[in-house]
Amino acid sequence: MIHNAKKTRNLVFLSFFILLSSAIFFIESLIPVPVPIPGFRWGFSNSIVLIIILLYGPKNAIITVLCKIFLGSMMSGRLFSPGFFMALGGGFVSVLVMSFIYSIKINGLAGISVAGAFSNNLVQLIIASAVFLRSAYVFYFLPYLAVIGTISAAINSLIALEGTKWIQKRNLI
Amino acid sequence: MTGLKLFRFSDIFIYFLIVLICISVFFFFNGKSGSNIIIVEIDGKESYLFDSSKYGIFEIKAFEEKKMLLEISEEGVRLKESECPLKICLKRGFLGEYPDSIICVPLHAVIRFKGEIERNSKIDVISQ
Repeated sequence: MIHNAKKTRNLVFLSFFILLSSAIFFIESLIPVPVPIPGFRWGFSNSIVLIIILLYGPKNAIITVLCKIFLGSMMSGRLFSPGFFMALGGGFVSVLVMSFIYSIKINGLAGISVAGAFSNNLVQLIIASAVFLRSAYVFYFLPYLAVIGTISAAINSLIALEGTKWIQKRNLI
Repeated sequence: MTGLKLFRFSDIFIYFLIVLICISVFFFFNGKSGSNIIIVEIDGKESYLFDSSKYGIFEIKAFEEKKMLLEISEEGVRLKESECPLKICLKRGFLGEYPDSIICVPLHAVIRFKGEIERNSKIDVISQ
């Protein structure tokens, strides 16, 4: 009975986190892009994905990322647009990279987050280049995306670490 | 999760790898000086060529016959209009020197100056 209650509570929290990350993903799409580079995103919903990796493990983080991109894109009316496929590929590879680095347990959360952000940017540009543009010139923007991505990823890791500590202190999960 | 720190020394390897990839990208594109010829690639094909000294507004038919207006003026080269949904390409402003490019992913378009090593282009007509 107690086991079932815990399971239900985890399910509720996980659903809440999926919804929260989808909402952040959607709100980000409404904010005008400060840097007009294809594939640019602040990626603050990634802090929620990091929290899920820390609290629930990689499997649930992958589900969260897929749900976040589908729900967020549906809300913003960008489902199956080029941006959707770029976000889907980038997000999926990013969560795999972050889960792998987390599992080997030699890196800090900032390193995990930065590796996730960079792999996200790289895969987004690969998809844009190979599927839509068929031109390598889009990779010229990779260093710019890497700088912005590193800053936002460092902020995300701080949010995720403090958020996770806050949740654990209150014994919410 | 217990004991997880924000930073660890081994993170340096991740940053080093990212810097290494970015420097490789930088060197891959640099060292090829540009020209005054503007290339418009649609779906990876060099579909239009323009001379940057011939000013005007030119219509480009991009992916799915959607239109873009390219403006060449004293100030530089920029996209004036585009039928893409987010208009990120319009916000890009003026095109910088090679290898900079204006990119529109939804319309599958790349606009850039021609590099020195690509002088033998298959397109021999420059739009007037």
